[in-house]
Amino acid sequence: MKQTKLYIISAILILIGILTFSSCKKNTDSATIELTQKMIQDKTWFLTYRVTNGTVKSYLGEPSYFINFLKNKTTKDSDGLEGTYMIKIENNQLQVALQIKLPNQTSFDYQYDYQYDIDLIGESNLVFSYTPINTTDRIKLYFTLNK
Amino acid sequence: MRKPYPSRDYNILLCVLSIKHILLVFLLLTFCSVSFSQIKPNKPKGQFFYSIGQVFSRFGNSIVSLIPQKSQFKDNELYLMTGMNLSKQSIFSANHNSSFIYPLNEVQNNAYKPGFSAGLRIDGKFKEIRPYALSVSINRYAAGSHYRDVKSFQPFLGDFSSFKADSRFLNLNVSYLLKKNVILRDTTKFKLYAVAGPSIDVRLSKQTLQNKVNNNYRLLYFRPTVGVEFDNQSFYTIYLHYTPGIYSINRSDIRNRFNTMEVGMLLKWKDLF
Repeated sequence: MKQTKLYIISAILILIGILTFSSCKKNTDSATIELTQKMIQDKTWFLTYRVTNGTVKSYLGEPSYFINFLKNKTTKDSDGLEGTYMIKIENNQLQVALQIKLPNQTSFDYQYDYQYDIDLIGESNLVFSYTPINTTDRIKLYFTLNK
Repeated sequence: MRKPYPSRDYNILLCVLSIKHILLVFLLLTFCSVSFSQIKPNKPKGQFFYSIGQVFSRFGNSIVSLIPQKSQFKDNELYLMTGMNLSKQSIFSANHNSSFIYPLNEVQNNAYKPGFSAGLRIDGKFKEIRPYALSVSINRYAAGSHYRDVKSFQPFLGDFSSFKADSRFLNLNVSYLLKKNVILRDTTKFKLYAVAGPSIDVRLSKQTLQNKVNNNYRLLYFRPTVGVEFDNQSFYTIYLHYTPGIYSINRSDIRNRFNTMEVGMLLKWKDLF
């Protein structure tokens, strides 16, 4: 009788153990992309700081670069460049990939491809970083919703 | 990044000996007990394995003796319980890393927020002398969020947190309370009980998108409950329970103590229906 009870207790403990110790590895990439999309879209992001190797350039209180990311996955910036964008995760790094049409071109045959790492993103803050071609300098761009 | 306030190890014992570790040790000991109690040692006493077997066997038997018999629970009475709860999350999240940031002034909400609960409870006596209560309830919590430490990155970013706490939860709660009659005055007029016991919360509601990103919230967590109960001649019982969060309801590097106060009323099922 006692043995039976002991087996029942063991079975319950095993069940609790399995439930407690097992950690379901959920694919959270889609949630990450969805949340990023929600935070970035339908807003005008103004460049406030540019940091290159520790050198800070402030654009506060002066006309600066801005970029729009629209819900329909298109983008337009203060230089008049237009294109499309896509949020993605590559090597565990959140990124935004831009395809920008050359001015006065209607086709994407003439395009620039940009890719920025998204370091941080919030409802009103956005931090991009990238390394320009042929350099080793890491550039960080700080954007806010306020000019 | 600077942390204005050092993150405080508020419960060192639980950090070192987490519930998982205790449970793991308990599991191993029980398995050993079962295994050893199967063996009928023929070898003479004094041998090493015989002694070990005896120790585990005794441990196994003591566990079995802790399991009460059904017949030991008597004078059971079914109650309908309903109440209002006030909840707050006390959060240490400065060590949590994420690409997402939430300005502190938008997420900080250092207040107990009201929710409600309803369920069933069985009150009875264990071994005819010890009053107990077993309750199952559905709790709707609306919890404030107190961020105890923050990140800051001046001048680019102000105070912020990389974790945004959910503010609403729907939980299934199971509690087992031991009751102790506190004699203040004539007990024929009313009875006052001090109660204490463990409770388990199972989260039924989904996480918000902000927390799905890192799957931040646990599905199940243990908390102790303490409180007082006022029984007015068995017509009704008014209870006041406090359930402190001693164990984080979040995963990994976020420590989130979920504290709940609950006030409510118990009515006999047979008086109502």
